[in-house]
Amino acid sequence: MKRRDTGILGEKLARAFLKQHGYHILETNYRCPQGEIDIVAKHKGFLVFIEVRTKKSLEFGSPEESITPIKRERMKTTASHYRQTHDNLPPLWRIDVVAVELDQNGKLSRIELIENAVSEA
Amino acid sequence: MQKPSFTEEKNLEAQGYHRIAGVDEAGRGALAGPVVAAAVILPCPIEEPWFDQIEDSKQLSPTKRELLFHNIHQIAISIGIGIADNEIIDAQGIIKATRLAMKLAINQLSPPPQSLLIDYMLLPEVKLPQKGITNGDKLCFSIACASIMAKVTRDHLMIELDRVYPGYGLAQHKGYGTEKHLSHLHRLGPSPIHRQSFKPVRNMIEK
Repeated sequence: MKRRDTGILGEKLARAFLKQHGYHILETNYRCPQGEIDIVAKHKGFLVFIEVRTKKSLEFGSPEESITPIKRERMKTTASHYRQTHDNLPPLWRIDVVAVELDQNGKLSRIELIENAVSEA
Repeated sequence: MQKPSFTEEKNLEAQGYHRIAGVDEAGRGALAGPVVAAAVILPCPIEEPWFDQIEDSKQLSPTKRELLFHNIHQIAISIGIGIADNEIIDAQGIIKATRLAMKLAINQLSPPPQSLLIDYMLLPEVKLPQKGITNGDKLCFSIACASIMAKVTRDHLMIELDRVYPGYGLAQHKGYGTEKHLSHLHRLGPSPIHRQSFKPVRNMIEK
């Protein structure tokens, strides 16, 4: 499986997982000049920006560890961009990460939701 | 030299406005060509490496202005440009024509602004909270960006118009009343894009 396919499969699994957990998905692959966010959703009165990190188990590090400080900043900027260009949004927002791990055959071996993974500070 | 700040933007944000358009014009005093207005909504917070280079467009070199024009284009939430040509200026007067250009620029913004910061004037016909700021292009970041967008857009337009109406040197002076422009005007008479209601042009016709 190619890297890109891994990503697409991961996002598909993540969307299904989020829906099961009560997330109402507003948009996927939101782009602005400063970056991209995989999923925008509403969840219990929060506006949530979700980054999906997909990895195959044998690669080093956990999926959530692969978010660099630069990526973190870009996500925050992109989240601000979304909030600025859309109206009637919940005032509270956060950034979550869904970590998806696949085995060598591309089967799901772990999926986990990390709420508020990228803090405001 | 004071740099434009975010004081006004921050005040409006604190009041709950998150799409604030800076509005400015270029070419109000020129003898030829249109008046061009720009309205710019910037991302907030804005963190760009070129950010402290923003100044009143008149203080910047043409090269730097051009660079910043592209930078602003890349990151802006939305940009609107409005143009009122010399016929509108002659028919309605420069103030009305400037207001019209500004309104056209604001109407182009999508998503629409929630409040306006305008250089020097107010637009009572536009039903949005607004503030006119004297020297806004020097003091207020969003207006300074709008002044760059308006100025560069108009400069490009005047370079085009120089090809259509050669001989006046429009590409160099952009229609402003420089000595060279006046001498060309004297020699050739006014072109179809000269503002006949402006005194130096009118004097040429009456002669």
